Amino acid sequence: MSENTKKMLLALSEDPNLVSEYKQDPKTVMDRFGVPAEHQELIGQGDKEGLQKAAGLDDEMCRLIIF
Amino acid sequence: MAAARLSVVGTGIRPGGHLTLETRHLLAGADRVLAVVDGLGLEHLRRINPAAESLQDCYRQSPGREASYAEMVRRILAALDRGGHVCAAFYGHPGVFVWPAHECIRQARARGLEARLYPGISAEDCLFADLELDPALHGCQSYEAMDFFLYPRLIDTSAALVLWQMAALGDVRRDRFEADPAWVRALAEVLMADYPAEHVATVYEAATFPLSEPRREPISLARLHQVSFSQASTLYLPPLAAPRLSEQRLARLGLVAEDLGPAAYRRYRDR
Repeated sequence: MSENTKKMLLALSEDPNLVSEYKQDPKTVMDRFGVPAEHQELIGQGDKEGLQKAAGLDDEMCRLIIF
Repeated sequence: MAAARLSVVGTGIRPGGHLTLETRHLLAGADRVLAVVDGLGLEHLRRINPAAESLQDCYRQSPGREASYAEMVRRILAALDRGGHVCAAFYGHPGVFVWPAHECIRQARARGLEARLYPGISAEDCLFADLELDPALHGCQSYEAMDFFLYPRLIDTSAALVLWQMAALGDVRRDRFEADPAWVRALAEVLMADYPAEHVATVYEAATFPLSEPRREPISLARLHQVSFSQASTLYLPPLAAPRLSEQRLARLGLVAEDLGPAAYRRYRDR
């Protein structure tokens, strides 16, 4: 589990400015939060189940970014 | 432990971002937090108060919504019995379509305890923003869909009409969340007594996650039965026309239409 991935998701759920930035350039935002490359790849692929397993996050948390 | 008191708060529609500063303070200072929120919402609450407990299991433990709500109230009151500041947190606005929030306030006060309801961001607030609907412009009628169908109201077609909980339409035993197509057709027929069949309504759902978009699906009343309704669906009917100024009411006060000062909303509405 990566605390950084979770931190980014929680930050996205609070901050519309960060959401705008993420929509334009997800990689920069993920790098800034230190989201591991494996998680970034799963997010890019839209692999919600894979992210759940790899990051140890629940379904709802993953639905925040993959829907 | 301080005397028991109850604060009932709302966590808004989008977990995290919709928590008000006031609610954050109440949560942080509470001795116990009991929350009816989903996993992400609970995660946020636990960052504010690590002792936050979920009441979501009340839905699984009890058959039907009435029993689930009664169990939530029982557990909130049981927490109050232990004294201290109890904060009950509900998804959305705690006073809007949340029977257990009102009931636990009533029961706490009946025990002589201090109890207060605080506002949260409701689905209606999201609807006003996402549909850019200003209730000052035309006025807004707002009903629970099934209640609206069962207990006829006078419809003012010059004002907006909002019908909530479309998925519960036809849920006569209050134990499911799937609209009955026969009830949707019957509701559309009721509406078509006042609106033309081609009047375009909007099926609205607030975005519950910041990266997703709200649902804003236009549909004519004649085709209303063809759309699907989720638990989050609301039906919005725009007004048919602007309301008419009453010369008679103005005359009672010795005024005529020309005496009314400029009002931007009126110019926009009367276009």
